[in-house]
Amino acid sequence: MVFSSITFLYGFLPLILLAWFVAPKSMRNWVLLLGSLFFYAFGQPSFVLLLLFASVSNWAFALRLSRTRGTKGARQILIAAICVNLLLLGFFKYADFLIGSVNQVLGTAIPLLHIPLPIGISFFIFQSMSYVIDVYREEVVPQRSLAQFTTYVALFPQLIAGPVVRYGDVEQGLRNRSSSMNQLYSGVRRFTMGLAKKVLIANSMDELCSAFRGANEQSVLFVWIYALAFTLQIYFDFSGYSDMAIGIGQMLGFRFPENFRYPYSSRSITEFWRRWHITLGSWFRDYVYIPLGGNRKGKHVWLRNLAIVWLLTGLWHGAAWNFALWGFLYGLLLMVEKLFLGKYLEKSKVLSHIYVLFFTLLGFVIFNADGMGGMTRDLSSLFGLSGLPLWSAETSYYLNSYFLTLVIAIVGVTPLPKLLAQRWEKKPVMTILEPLAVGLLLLMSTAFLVDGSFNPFLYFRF
Amino acid sequence: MNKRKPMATIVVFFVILWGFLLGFLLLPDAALSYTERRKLEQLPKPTVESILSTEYMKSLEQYAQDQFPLREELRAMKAQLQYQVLRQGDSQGIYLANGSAIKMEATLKPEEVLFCADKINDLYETYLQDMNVYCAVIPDKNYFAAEEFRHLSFDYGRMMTLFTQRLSQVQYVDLFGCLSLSDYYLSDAHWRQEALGPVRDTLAKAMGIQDRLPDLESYTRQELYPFQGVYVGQSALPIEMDRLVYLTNPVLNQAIVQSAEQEGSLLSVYAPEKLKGMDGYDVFLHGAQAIITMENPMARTDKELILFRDSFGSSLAPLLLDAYKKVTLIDLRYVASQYLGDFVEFTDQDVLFLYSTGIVNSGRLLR
Repeated sequence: MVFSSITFLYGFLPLILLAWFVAPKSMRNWVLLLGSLFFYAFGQPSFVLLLLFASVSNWAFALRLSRTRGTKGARQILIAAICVNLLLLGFFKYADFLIGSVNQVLGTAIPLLHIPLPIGISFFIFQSMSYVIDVYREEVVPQRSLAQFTTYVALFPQLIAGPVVRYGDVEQGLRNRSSSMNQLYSGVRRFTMGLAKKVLIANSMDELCSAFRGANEQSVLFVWIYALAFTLQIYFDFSGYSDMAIGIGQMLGFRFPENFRYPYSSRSITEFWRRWHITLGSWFRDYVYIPLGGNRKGKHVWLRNLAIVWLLTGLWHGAAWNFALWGFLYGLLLMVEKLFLGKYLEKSKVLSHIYVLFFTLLGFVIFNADGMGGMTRDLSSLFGLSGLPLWSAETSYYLNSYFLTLVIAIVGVTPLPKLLAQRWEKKPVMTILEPLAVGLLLLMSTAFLVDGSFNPFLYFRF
Repeated sequence: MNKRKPMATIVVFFVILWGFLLGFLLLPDAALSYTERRKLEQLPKPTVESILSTEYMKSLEQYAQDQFPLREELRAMKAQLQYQVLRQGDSQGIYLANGSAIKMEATLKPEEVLFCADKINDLYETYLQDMNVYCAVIPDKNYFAAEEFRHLSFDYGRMMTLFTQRLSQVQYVDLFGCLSLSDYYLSDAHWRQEALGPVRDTLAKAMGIQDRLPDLESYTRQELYPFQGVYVGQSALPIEMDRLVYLTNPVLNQAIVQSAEQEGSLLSVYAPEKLKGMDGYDVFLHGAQAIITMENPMARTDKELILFRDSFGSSLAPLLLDAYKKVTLIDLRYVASQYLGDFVEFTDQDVLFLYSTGIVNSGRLLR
């Protein structure tokens, strides 16, 4: 089930909120747990057992860790826990990728397994791993209740597309969360805004991308429009989903970490990754980069660590070589920035923005390509090397057709709307305008959903 | 802090959420969408297989979309937001030009065009040798408006070159110059029967039957209102309703109409009661029929016409009946060509292939 579906919006959500409101406090975690398992089963019933297995095994590993704390056994348990998690992820997400790569390199014909990807596996495995590691590091107290821990792993707002919520972020909320009208109000606003970002903008940008893919007459300009449209789509899609997750979390009394802070207004790639998918970036920093030594063991180790982290970041997003290359591109850019480019970027606001946007666009063309062949084709088209004309009538039509949507989307990725909203927030007229805006956005999103055919979340596949 | 704003925002949100849920639960399910001309999804029955394969959940989402309260209004809201506010060029591929809703056909499918021509050639070889065989193509509305209103279209010239060069033994009659955008309904893809004078005259001249046809002005006009064409539901745009005019005369009033699918029952040339059905254009010769015949009891000739046609032919055929004893309309989308000999006796009839560009560009629809 996705948040931007009629069955979720007008079925699951109102019913789970009603159940949560009327349930006694002591029963609310049970409401959440059962609701979350139903939510997951609605999307992929056959993998509910996998989700439960991940929960039970990590809960048990953490309890065992707490009992062997300070002994050699603790480290072995930690390694076993990490291995189990990585095996699950590796088998379900990367098995066919590895087999395919081996077949390509060695010319073998090992049959692919064709295992369907469990929805949200990258998120719930990463969350479970972070919990075990945090218990090992004594940063969190292990959860004794299996039900409470499973509620954390399966918590439906963030289960399938993040943010990557660590146990420490919700520990307090799981034990004793209080909800207030202000929290509910913030949640309602945040959820509605996220829904509108996804349904009204990201889906429209997807239509433009599809028009490009299905065009009779492509052109170099059309490739650039496509690159821009996809760059906007993935931001509104993913940040919209994060907003909805955070919003539902607030309605239920949780505080989830922020995942996006206007990444396209960054002035360096380093800054971009502090603003884009923040929870994933900090996960890799805390559980891979720093344990590998970070930048404390000399330049060579530092560069190696960066390369490892960004290769893994790329592969986390998808089991294909273009994702690895996408990650590698960012790793390379970060190295270059840290070694010498960083100080130059600080000198020119305009040039640094252009630099970030250029490589972001380029990165997302690689990211969204259909394998390595598709990537080569898209990149060569982008730079006019595939014999495409500079312009075509179809390009002109779609540019005109989506011009206003593109302008709205471009303004929407900047902090400008938020600044304006903050300036107006205290004005008396907002007492009427804001509820109207929330209602209108919800109705417009509903209208698009009722009539819509395209709706998957891009981050579902991760 | 002012508590009215948070309270009002929460109330609006939950009233919409729970209001639609209640509406959904309490309102009865509809079986059909007349504007979209399709059956609506009904509540699926769960089975272990359908749940495990998630087919049940997909059907449930489709059901929720189809049976959602105020669905038509919400679709209209979306269309207007995209088309009027965001100024998108089309809504579901349909745009408005001078009040007329037009489907943007931008992709020429040469293999489909050639398939269509080959199908006609095959029929000629199988059934129609030594008969007078004519062929004409009806341009869609996009042909007239795309360039002027800066919308996309395929290359009609290329289509017709591909098509006509592939045809053999068939006399092609060009209708592109006989029509303009105003000859079509505003809300529908089809042409208006009362505007078919030039088309009929061009065909009649090519087929040598002009002397046997009465003047179009001599027919009696019957009007039906409102006619809601196919594009109203498809696009959800605010499109003016049409006035559907059909032409009658004594020949048409006395014509004996029979459908191969309703053997034994006599039909009328026009079916005004179908105006409010799934497709208002079914008023003309009862809509989709594999084979339907019109006999002219007042005929002063033994000549017959076989019309291979799509839906456009339903409104033209009555205007040709005066020149023939019998007109047989065959829609190859609903009857396979290899079985035609079982239903139709091919002797020395005149034969006309009359297809719209939409069918020529989807030639594989012809069986």
